[in-house]
Amino acid sequence: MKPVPLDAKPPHFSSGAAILIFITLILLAATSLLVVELSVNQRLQLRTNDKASSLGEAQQALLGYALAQAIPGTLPCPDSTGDGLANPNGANCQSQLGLLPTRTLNLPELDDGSGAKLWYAVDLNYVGNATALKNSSVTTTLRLDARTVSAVVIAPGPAVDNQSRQLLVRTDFLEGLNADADLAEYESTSSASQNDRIVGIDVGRYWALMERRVLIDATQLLNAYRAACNEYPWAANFGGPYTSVNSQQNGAPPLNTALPDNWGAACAGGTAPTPATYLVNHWIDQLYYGMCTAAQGNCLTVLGSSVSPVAGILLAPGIALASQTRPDSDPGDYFEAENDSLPTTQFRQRTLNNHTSSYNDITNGF
Amino acid sequence: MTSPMGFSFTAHPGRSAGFNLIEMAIVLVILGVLLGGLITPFSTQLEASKRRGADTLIDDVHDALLGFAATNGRLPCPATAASNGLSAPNTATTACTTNHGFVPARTLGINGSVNTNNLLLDPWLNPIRYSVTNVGTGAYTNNITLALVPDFRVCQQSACTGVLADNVVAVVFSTGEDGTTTTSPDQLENTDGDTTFVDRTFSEATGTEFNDHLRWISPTTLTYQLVRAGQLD
Repeated sequence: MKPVPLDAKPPHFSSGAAILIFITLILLAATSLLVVELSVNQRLQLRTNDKASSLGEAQQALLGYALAQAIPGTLPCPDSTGDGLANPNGANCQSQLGLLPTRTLNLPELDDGSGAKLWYAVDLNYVGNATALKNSSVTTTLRLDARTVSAVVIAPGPAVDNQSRQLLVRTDFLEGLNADADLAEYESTSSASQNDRIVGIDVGRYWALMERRVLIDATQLLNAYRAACNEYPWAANFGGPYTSVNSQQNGAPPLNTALPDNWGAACAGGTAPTPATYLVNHWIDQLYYGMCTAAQGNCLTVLGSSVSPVAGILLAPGIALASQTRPDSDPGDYFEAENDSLPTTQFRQRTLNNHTSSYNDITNGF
Repeated sequence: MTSPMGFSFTAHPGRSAGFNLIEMAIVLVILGVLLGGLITPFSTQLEASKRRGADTLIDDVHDALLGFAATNGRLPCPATAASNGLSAPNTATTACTTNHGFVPARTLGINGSVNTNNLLLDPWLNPIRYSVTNVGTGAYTNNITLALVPDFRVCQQSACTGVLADNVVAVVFSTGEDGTTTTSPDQLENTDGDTTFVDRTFSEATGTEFNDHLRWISPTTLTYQLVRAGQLD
């Protein structure tokens, strides 16, 4: 071996640069792995958000659908075939539990973030041809965590245990009470083997919203009557028959026969309107009506409302509270607070957010 | 003698320099291979990021339109190239300047990149489109009522053998990476000014590509928002 010259550059300086580059590469690789890992976590979080936003969108669409139907409060049957359309079957549905009928609701094909379609169960008293009356006193049997709901929407989440994900097989998507044979009982329990996310449309909130539509229609009817006949029609007795009683200013709206002029009659200012069929068939015994004559002007006070005094008022009762029994001819089984001491010229209005277990009336002064 | 890398070398200065060059070359080749492998995923990531950005922007417009309807009881008209980002006209009307135009971002108060005409741009710098139904003689841009049945439909393909939604009030869409320079029938369907629109999965197959990003306003969702806000009184 030759001796190393004293002025020779030690070779390891150059090799050290290469090592530094290799270390940099390793650090780069480690950083990339970290970023990828973070991205995976972010995607999982996004999936959870997707689920929540899909469920919310489905819930809003169902409420909007029910509001816009000829008989407000009607919900679609579930999709039992996978084509996005509701599948009714006579007065019933092909199945009480199925897929969310996205096409019937004019929604995009919502999924839960893991690629699974949303599931949907409905109370059978609420579907199209059901014989039950569509009003806030209807019996509701669908339950979510023992709470009454008009419908539930379920995001199945990724497959758990041995789920093979065959389309429309509920046990391949849902778990626990949501997958069992009792199609009227659901739960929001969450665990490693149970990852359904579920929202229910609370029956009180559901009918409060429907009643706003009902009161809009009924108010338009009464205003159109006054525009044609110069006065609001006289009220009927609460509890029926729903025919105007001369000079009576409180009670039920006279949806059967109106006085001083009947529905559809030729009045001085035009033809009196006729009530929507659904109002007569489904709400005739549910509403309360107060009116002032043209000479009295705005004779009714609505506490809690910015629109007061008014010349007319309609009340819708909300769902029956614990102390109320329906059907009944006592307005106290329908209305609360000042609205319970009928007949009166003073009423109470509270916003939906201020509804409680002892007050859930919907009011509309006009 | 052995280098820290495990290579043997002699102390000759010339040979030592040559060896380091080879070593560096190897490192550069490895680095090149690594970077080459990363460039494709990076460009894919960039494109995917733009697509996600487009979806988010369109979601924002969708939500802003619902908010506008809840406040005003109607939808805005589409903007035009001459309306400076405003609804054309910027008032309740049964006669929009056009029913197939652009997002009226100024009327909706949406922040984002805009072009010289104040039209909201997608991540590929094309203006985002907005079409609203003219059913009921322009009722949706004047005064929405419950009796209206909108006539837009969204299909899975231009021939519409598969329908996604039969009654749609309005659509918002980005023309995607290729803007309007496409021959794909499914993409052309979205800009042809009729009442049929297409929404399907992303595809780069030449001639049948689909990279539009579309979202529609369902009458059910709109009804819910309007009744909740007391706009149908």
